[in-house]
Amino acid sequence: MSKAKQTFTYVGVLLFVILLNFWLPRLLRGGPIDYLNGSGNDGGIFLSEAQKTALLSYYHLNDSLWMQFVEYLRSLFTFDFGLSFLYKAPVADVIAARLPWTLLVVGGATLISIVAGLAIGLLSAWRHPGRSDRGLFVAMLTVSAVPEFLVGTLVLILFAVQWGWLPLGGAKTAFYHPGSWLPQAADVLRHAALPIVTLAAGNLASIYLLMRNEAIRVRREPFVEFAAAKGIGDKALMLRHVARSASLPLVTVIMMRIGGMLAGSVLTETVFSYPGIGKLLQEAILARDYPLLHGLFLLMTLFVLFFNIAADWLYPRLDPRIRTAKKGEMQ
Amino acid sequence: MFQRNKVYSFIVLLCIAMTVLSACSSGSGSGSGKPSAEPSPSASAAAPAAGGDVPLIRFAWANAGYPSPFAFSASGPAGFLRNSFLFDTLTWKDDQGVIPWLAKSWTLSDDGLTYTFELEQGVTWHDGQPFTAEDVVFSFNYYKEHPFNWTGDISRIESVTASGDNQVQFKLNEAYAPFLSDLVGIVPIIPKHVWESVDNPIEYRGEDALVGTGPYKLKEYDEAGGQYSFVANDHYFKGHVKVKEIQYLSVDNNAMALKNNNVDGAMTYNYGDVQQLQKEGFDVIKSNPTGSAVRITFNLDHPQLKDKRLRQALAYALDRASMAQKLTGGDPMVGNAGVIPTDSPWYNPDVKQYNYDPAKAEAMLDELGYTKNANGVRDGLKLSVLVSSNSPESQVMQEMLKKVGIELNIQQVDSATFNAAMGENKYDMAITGHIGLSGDPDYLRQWFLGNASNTLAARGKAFANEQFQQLAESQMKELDPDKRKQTVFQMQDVLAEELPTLVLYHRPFYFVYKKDVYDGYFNTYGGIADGIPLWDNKAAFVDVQS
Repeated sequence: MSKAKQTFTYVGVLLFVILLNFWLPRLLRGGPIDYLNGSGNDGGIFLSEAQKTALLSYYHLNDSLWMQFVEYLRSLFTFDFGLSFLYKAPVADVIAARLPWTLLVVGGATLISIVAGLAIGLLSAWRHPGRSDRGLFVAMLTVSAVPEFLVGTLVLILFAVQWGWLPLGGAKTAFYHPGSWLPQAADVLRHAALPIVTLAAGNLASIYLLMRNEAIRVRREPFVEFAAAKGIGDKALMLRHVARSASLPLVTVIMMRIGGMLAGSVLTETVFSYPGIGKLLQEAILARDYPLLHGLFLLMTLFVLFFNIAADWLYPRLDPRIRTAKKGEMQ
Repeated sequence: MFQRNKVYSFIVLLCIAMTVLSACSSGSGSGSGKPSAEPSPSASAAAPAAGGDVPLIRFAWANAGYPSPFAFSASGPAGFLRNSFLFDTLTWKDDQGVIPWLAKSWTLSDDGLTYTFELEQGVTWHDGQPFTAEDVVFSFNYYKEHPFNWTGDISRIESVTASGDNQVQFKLNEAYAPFLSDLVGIVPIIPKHVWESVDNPIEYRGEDALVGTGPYKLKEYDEAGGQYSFVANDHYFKGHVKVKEIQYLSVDNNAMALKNNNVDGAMTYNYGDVQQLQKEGFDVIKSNPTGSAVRITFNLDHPQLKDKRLRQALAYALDRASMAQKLTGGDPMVGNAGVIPTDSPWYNPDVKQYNYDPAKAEAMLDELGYTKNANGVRDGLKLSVLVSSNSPESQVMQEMLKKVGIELNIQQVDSATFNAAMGENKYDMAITGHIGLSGDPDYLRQWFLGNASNTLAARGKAFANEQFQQLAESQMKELDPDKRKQTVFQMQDVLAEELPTLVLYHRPFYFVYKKDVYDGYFNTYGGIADGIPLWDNKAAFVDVQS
């Protein structure tokens, strides 16, 4: 694919998603005022017609759909999505308050799943074929088959309820202000531990599988055989030769996984009532909070696209074979 | 479980035996049958709460937004209650009913149209500025342009004027009986010197946005986590603030948070949780009056349901007593056909009721022409019920209606979809839950005359019954409590006969708390403000001087 073509694809995807971002929330039945009006089991509020009209006009919901669309397009360029209905604060502020928590959890989970996935994958390939390889393989498939919220609920019940080692939820102890940063960081980590483990468990298997299969394939390559014939030890062979060349295709997978994890944090954050953007997205959908949905969808889109571009950019630089192939195509 | 119960009851028996023994021995010693004046252990544990100040109470509740009068979350009562800690109203409520608050006293003109309020003197805003009549006038004018985020029908007021620093006059368009409780008891007074320069109050987050006269100031609000910390206002005009700090913590599961000692008090309506927590040593208050209803709203435009005989037949077919027993436990309160909970002072004890009578239901259905086919199903009658969350009521209903040959289809949707369907009248029956039913009965007018835009009250759809509409209007304007009560009784008669809605049961709320942390809670008469049956009434945390 030529560079121009690639750029064109990305711009096309972005445009399509931008259109979708506007229309998708509005395809859901019911609107934000419907949500504000009725409030489930605590319902007891009587918005008068005057109050309702004021709300509608304040949020430009009585404008025509096209006017709202124009307003939305404008907001894309200014990054000013307006006020969240739910929090009555600028969308950017609402998201900014929660994004760091999600980045912490997603970052931690990415790190753990990569390190553990690669290590276990390599170990599995080393022991292939054998009983421990098969055991790891089945174990990983099992873990990946269990839905994330179930894993979350399970570790929550064990670690927080049964044994009481870790907190039930939230990102930090409320109004906890120790003098120094160390206990504060420990508190944050204690709260983040279970969400990170849950999210990592869900992403471990795919990295493991790829690493294992690649490593097994690479092991059969002539250059490895040659290295073995040279008398290089098993361990060094695995780490220096097999691991290096097998991990190359993993770069793409890992990059895409990170993007996906951001969206995948919805379930995990809900289980642990963790105040990140995943939980925010859930709230925003339930409340039909259009401005907040616009902001969140755009953020996630940009995130995924960014990591895709990064993978596209990085890969040829890591693997010279692809670079030459591309050049050849261009000539 | 059984084993444990046995052990437990054995210990209880042992304790009783020991108490009896010791009582006998001490009784013989003192020689009098009078109960000992010595405080019991539990009372002594509560003593610090009754006497000195309490440093901190932690309550469980979800995030309710930034607590300014324009920005708090209006879904659910929490936003309003958080706001009421910071801002005061002219009147308020305690366990006896409406009491003076920012207004010391008031008089009503003979024509019932002019209220004159005498304001408290020497009240200061949190920033030290004096509170005056001008602030009251300003507030009501400001709300005309920028509506308050909760209830309170400002349009009833023709004008508000100040006469001097401490006197305010409200002129009404017409007599309005719920004025003291449901209007000036709800709408908070805001400082003129802050808001007069604010054009966009919803977005306003200035440092002075939360300057009120209330018993608490906001120390910290963690918006992402939904945690609040309120600290006492040491210069509160209404009396000494006993509880120095109140935190609201957003937790996922109230019962679990109580058990784990994350909070000191929490609300629940799960009777199983209540029993469990009571066993673990927590104290419990039950809402009284109940103040809530879980009900079926009938779509009165539905071709079949518009016939009241069908609605009545459904009422006879539903064993609401057993449903209430199953779903609420404790002492179940079967729904009043006249809507108002049976422990409310406005309840009409002579109103028509529909006791479970499946034979009568079947006879009525046959008479209406919905005959059973060979399989015992009435094919001519297929109804659906719309629910917004996991509703055990609908499942019980489905079973009960099956017995009289009606197939009920349950449609479960999320709450925004639910409200849209209600607003557009695209449903047969819907199950909704409400609070606020023990406050002023004017809600009956708002529900059924389509004045409230609340979708749960079937927005924009009036209950087309001329007699009811007249009664509803006249009760609102009737200032004589006894006469008004008679009118409200008549309204209940109409509702019970016509059944535009069928209340399944009145759901009690429970407050589970630790007595040794604080024990000053009470049930607010008629519910806080517009009938909120909860316990975080700010008057409970202040030594109120009248």
